[in-house]
Amino acid sequence: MVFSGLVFLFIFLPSVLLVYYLVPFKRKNAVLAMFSLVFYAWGEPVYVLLMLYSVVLNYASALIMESSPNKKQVLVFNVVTNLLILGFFKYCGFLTGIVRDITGADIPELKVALPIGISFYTFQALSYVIDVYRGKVKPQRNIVDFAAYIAMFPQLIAGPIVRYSDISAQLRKRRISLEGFGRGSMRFTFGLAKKVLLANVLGETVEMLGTGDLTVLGAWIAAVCFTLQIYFDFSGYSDMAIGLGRMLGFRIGENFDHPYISSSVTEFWRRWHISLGSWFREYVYIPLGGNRVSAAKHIRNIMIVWFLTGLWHGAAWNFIVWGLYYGLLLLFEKYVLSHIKLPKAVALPLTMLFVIIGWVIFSANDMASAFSSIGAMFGAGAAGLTDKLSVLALIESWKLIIVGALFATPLPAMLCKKLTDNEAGKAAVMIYAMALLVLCTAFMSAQSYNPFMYFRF
Amino acid sequence: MKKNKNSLFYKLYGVIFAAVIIGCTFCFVILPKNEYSSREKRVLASFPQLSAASVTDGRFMEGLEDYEADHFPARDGLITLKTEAAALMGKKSSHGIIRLDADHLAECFTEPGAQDTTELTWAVNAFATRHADSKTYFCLVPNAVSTYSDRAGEYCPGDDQNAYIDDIYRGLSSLKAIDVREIFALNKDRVDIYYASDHHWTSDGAYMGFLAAQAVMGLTSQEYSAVVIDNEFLGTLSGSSGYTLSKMDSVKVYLPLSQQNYTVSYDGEGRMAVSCYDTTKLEEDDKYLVFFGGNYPRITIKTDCGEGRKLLLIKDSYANCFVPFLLRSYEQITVIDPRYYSEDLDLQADSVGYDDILFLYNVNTLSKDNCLVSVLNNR
Amino acid sequence: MKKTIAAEILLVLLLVPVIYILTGRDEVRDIDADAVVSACEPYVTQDRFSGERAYEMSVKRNFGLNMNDYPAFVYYGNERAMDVNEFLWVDAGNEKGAKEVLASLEKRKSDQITAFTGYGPDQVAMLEKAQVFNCGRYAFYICSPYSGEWYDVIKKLVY
Repeated sequence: MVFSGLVFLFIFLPSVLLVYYLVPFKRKNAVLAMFSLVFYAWGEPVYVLLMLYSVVLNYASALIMESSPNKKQVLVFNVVTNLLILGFFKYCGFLTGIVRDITGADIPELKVALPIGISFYTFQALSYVIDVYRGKVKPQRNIVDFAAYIAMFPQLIAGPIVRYSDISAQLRKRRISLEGFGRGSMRFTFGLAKKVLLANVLGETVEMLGTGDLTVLGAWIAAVCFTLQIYFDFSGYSDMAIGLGRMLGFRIGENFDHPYISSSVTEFWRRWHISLGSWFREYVYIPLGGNRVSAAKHIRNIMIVWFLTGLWHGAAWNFIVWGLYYGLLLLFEKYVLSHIKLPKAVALPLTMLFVIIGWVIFSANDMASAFSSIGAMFGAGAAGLTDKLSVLALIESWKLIIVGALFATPLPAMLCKKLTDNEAGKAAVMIYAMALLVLCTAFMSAQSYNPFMYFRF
Repeated sequence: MKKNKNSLFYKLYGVIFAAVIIGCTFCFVILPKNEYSSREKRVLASFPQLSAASVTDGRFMEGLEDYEADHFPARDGLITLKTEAAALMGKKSSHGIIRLDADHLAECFTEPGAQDTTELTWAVNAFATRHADSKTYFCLVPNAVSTYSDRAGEYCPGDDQNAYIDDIYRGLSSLKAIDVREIFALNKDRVDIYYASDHHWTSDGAYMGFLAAQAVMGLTSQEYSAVVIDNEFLGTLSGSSGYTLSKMDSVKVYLPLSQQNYTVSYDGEGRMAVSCYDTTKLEEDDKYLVFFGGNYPRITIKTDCGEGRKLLLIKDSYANCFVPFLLRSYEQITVIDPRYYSEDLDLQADSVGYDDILFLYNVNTLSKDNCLVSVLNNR
Repeated sequence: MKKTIAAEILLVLLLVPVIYILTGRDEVRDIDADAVVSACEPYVTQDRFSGERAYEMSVKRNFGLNMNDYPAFVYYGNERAMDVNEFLWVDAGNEKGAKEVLASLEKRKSDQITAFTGYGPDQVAMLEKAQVFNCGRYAFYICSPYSGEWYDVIKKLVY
């Protein structure tokens, strides 16, 4: 089930909200867990078993660890099992492909489907068990509460990755109010608009241009539209997740902070997919020594983290290259550019250039296709400067590109905040939000195109 | 402090949001469901089959999503809202259909592969050669997007129909081509050659086509009076695109001034009629069906015109409003629609001995067609 | 420590049936034409299908497939040209062949929908519910008012 669909908004959400608000507090987590399992099973009927197993595995592991003399062994067991499951379902095909390419052996293709959200809930579970090991949190004795954490539908399939330590107290006690519900629903509305009105529509232009025989103009339009699409898709989903969490009384941390106004790649990764970056920092980078080690080891740590970041995004070479690409850029900024201070007017476009190129690598079907698309952007191997298709793409998308670029800045949010401080402004924002809700419903009713890009995770 | 100041604001939005989602869900569940959409001319999804099997493989969920999409309250209005909003955002087409202007729609054209075109011309040439004692003609009619390309604009989505028509005509060595483009260009601003909301040509357009064919095939002239028989036609283009028009289409028929007697036999259905027009269809949504009641595998028309000539007409739905112009020129007309025809066309042609064979197609249908080639090749 | 190891082993054992259910359900049984015919029997009615099993010409004309190329097939067609009821089962001999056959079947479905769109809504509705799929070395095209139930019966037969 996707948030930007009629069934979610007009069957599932009203049902879960009605039941959730009607039951007494001590039953709310059970309601949440149950509805979350239905939510997951809706999209993956049989794979809900794997999710249930993950709940049992991690719940049990923490309790076993508590009463076991050798806590480290239990940790290793749990981490290995979790990663093996993730590896099997997500990376099996990729790995057997590599083996096949290297050895030429005819290994049959295993038909294993990727369960939606497995990367997200596995990382959430790992954060729990590792924090229990570290003594940062106490094991959750109530399996229903734990299931509510792992399966919570707001962030189950597209994040943010919520660390158990950030939410454990809220499982026991959280404030549920009409005002919180209102704030959450407004956040949700804006996130929905980002996804349905911006991301999906920009995505149509990307799809129209395709990947073959691009002109210079076409390659740039595709790259820019995808850059905006992925931001609005992913941040829109995070907004919806945070909004839904708020509607249920949970305060979930931000996942995006206007990444496209960054003046450096380092800054970009502090603003993009914040929960993933901080997960890797907390559970991989810092345990490896972070930057408090020799330069050589530091470089190794960075490259390991970025290799894994790329790999987390998908089981294909272009994702790994994308991760390493950023690893190298970050190292370059740290070691080479640290003494140079570029003016913002230069740094911002330069950063965005690298980000856009990064997205071309990320969105390509394979590395060869990525190279040809990037080449086409700079004139190498392009099918001309412009053609009818690319001009049509420009005509169809230029308004949205401008609107998208505007909404990628903090300006609209700042304006909204200012408006809500006075009465007339409040009415304007209210009408605006309602209009967005109606427009989104219209787009969802008529949609034949509603891609969910993070289904690979 | 600020939080409390705006507390009422957020509470109000919360109430509105909850009311909207609960209200729409309630309406969706409670309101009676239509089975058929007259706007889109299709049957709406029915509630999916609920069983253990259909749940485990996800069919029930997919079916429920289709069901809700088809029966959502105010669906028609929402689709119109979406289409107009998308147009404001810059989208030039919706489901492959563009606006020529405020009052006219047209379907975009996608060029088929060169191999399909070659297969087609080969099959038609071979058929014509097998029946060399008949004179064979091919009339390929462009669609609105091409005839009115000046209104469509330079960056209209899709490909150029003229190039396709030229390719086809160039490849048809054993046939005579009937090119309607010149007469269309001369008359396109004077009359509406196509319906505003449908992919068919109007009777005016069909008459232009007849005049072009008449010159090549040597058909008999006739005086007609054009009569409007319906004013409320909303065709396939408006339904499937979501675009709305300010007025509906009118359907005209060209009635001959001098009396004509003929019979129409719907072979395979076992019924006969004495008119090309099935006025019962005017009570339904697709008024274009007034011409012969629609498409049939084989129709045989016998007239009393005394000319003694016979025509084999292989066509798509464009020919339906074209046939009335042929009634003065032929004693017998056999109308074949290859999409529904499963007999042996060579046998048909040999058994009757036609004087003329005419292929009448419009570009969009021909470019997507797969049936003509297999019927002609008879395999 | 022993209790710990025992608990861990238990957890791993619990994983086995989960993995099995999620991956081991693709076993395709061997079936033959007679099995298909008896499975289809409840849905092949005289007024809908011509009842003949082997109409090679119709399959060639409608799907573009030459049945001589394949080990076995079962086809139910219909007599009336405006009907879209059809059933085709092809044993393609291997999985790759089944995928190619599937491409032709899906093309048939979309061609039919194009032919009847805007003009034959009941036909289009039946076509959109049609089940066109492959499993192992078999490919199926089921278009009938009972596509759903027929599909369930076939699935039980094959898996």
